[in-house]
Amino acid sequence: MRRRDLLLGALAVPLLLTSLLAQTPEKVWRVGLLTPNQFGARIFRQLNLPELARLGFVEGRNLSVQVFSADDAYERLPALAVDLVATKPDVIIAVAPTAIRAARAATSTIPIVMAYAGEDPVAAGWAHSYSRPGGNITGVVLLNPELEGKRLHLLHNTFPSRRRIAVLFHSRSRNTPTDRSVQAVAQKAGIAIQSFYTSGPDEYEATFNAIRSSGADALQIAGGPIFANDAARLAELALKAGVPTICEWPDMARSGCLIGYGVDRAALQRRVADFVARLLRGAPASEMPIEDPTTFELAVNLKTAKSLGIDVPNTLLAQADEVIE
Amino acid sequence: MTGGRLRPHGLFQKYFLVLFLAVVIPLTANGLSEAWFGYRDQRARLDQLLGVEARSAAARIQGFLDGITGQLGWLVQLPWTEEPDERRRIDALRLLRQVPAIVSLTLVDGTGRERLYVSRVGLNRTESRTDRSTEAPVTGARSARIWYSEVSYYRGSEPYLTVAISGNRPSVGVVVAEVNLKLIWDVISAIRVGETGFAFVMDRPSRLVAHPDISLVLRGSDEATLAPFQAARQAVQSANTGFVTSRDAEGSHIAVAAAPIAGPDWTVVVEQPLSEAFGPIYAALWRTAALLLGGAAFASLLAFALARRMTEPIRLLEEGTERIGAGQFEHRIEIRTGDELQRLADSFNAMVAELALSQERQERIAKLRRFLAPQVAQLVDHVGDDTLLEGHRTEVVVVFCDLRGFTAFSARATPEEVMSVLSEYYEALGHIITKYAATLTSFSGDGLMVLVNAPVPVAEPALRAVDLAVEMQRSVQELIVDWQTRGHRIGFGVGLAMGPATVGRIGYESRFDYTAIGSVVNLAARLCAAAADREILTDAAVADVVKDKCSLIPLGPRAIKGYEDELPVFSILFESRSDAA
Repeated sequence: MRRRDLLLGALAVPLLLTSLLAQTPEKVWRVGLLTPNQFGARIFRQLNLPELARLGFVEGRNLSVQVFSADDAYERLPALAVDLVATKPDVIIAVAPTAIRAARAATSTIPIVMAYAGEDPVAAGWAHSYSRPGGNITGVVLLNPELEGKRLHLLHNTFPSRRRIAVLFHSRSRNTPTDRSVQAVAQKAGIAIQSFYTSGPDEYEATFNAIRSSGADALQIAGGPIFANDAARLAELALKAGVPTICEWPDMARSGCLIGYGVDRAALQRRVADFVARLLRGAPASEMPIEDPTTFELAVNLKTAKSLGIDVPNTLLAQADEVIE
Repeated sequence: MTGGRLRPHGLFQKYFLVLFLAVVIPLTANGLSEAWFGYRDQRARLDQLLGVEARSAAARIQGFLDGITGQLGWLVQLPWTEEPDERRRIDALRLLRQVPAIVSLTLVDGTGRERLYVSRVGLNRTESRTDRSTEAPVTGARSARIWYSEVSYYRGSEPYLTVAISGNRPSVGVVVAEVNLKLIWDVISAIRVGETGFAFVMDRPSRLVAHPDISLVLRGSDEATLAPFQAARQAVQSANTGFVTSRDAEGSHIAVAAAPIAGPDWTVVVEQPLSEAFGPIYAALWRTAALLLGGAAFASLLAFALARRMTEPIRLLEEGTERIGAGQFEHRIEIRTGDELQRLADSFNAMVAELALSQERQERIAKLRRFLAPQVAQLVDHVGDDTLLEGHRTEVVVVFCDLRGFTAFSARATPEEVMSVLSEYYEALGHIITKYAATLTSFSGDGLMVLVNAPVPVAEPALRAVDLAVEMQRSVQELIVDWQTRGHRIGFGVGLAMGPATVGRIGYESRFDYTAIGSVVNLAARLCAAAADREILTDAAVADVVKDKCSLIPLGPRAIKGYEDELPVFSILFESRSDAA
């Protein structure tokens, strides 16, 4: 009897193992992406999914991704966030502060990865501290206020003779730390700036007309997912306006912006994917330190420079990680 | 015998134990010594391995820092002038591009004033001329050429290090670089110790500088996070040699070794799960244990088989002796081992056969002795042939004798008296019968019948029979003298006759007698009956043979019962012993 039991046990172990192995792929992790527009979804597919697959979460096999995009209608985000939470995803990825705020309002239990916070998440009250967020929100911050100032300074240093710089913000950025930081840097560096606020693609034409008529001789396009989404259109309008432009992302230079200076987006998205993977594996968001970006890139588009008929100083080219010719 | 019964398998157990131990003890000794030396070797190897891993990890971290300081060296080669140095600005900006880990650079001239500040995030400055001559990086680099700050954690999370380098003379100034230590992650995460082991870096106050899990580093000086790492470092530093064992955050046992990084005074600690580090040892121990178990099983089988092989013949022998002891002489011990035991069994069987033969002979002799003289019985036995006793017709001398007046005496005397007389009488006669190798065929009461010349023929049977009769008379007459003094009136007469008779064994099963049948027997019996005390009567046949050797008195023809004609009868004269004396 005893021997037979043992025999049955010996047979059962491999059976159990194979059934376990067979069951493992059946567990499908669900990730919800909350984004103001399709750009966030595009970036996620292009940069995050390969990294997640490398970390063992392959879409279609053990990962399903649901995209909730507001399609530039920011006011829809809170409702979308509620819809997303209703689908009970394992992790929410929130693109940009508006989406983070909406997701946080919708849930305090499902972990939220900030991809990325433009502003200080501790100051915003989303996290207790950088090293121990303490809630359900963690992720990557972008150092936007500092970098926005840095971009203005860089534009000014590159073209010291151009004294009238226009700064284009999204209308939601009015009076944000970023807005204030740019003002402060301008004041400190003695640069005359004029801020323009636009609410979306429909207004671009009018805003650029206003910029042109203001007599601006250089343009900074401030950060924001909406501008990243419309990079090509904005670059075209800037070229039409005949102003050298500095943008948030190096990849915007590829779309026609003269200078793109900011965070290495690919590296940042790898970090976002790492956050998602760790959370899916069960690590608590409250214990997961919020990260700053580590690598920065400068891209210069010489084609745009040529079209504008301006010389790009060597100091800028010396710093450039990428020169588009 | 009783001891054997108490421990019926004593020998088997002894053999089994001895054989088993003979295999298992060397095997165990070998296995244990191998395991022990294997353990020691593996420990030594692990010691070496982890030491090498720690030093190599330290070298790689050092390499990371050297890569930075090497690049910084380019900025402190030429002396500063009072004019803004555009070339150096471009060099600094290129360096930022070249070394991603550098977040900002501050260039200070020979007098300690800041000439240039470039940053990835902060705003660049040129010719601010701020006096930085008293700041720690500048003074540190001036005195030690390369200076490392303590690790600082921006917002309590992101680790930064400040490195300052001075040139080969004061006028070239000092370059101060802020380094983002998160970029060591690429280096530290690439270090693998064995399968799952890894390395981490701690600074002097035991805070994590680098770890494959970046979030542990980003927790800054969080005590709870740091505790296991600090414990590991503490253990390895206090041990001072080789690797030590500690526990990681999950409480699992780990093997830990450390190596210093001289510049910033950091320590690289490599750790490997103890289960993995000692994996080969455990594997070897399991292997040894399995071998020992297998060896023991094999040894017990072998010992069982051998002990069985050795004790089984002995058991057969034991059983055989018991059966033979119980008289089963036909039993044979079957042992086919082809060795001494088989020889023993064979010789035992031979002995049993001899024993059976001897027993049979003893029985036969015992039977023959009943009627043959011992020497005749022996002879018959030596011939080994019973045909001698089979019925045949031969010339015999038949001697009868009995006591006169015995019936009257036995009626008067006490049974003890009767038995005493008879016992003395037969003792004397038996002695004589044996002496003359005559055959006693039967006796009843006071009379007996003796044959001469059967079953073994003798020389001159008649003379021998006469001598026998004479000696009988002499002996019994001596007894009679004694008996008469006791008041018993007993006489003794003998009769003998010679002639052909049928002799042989008669009787049934084990109750056999040897006897003679024929008229000569009757004649001898009649002559005996006719003989008076002190008288030996014989027939003509005997008288005819012995007439020249003995003194005979012819008594003339006498009528004898059972015979129609009268037969001549002779009396043999003899001198009694007392007469002769």
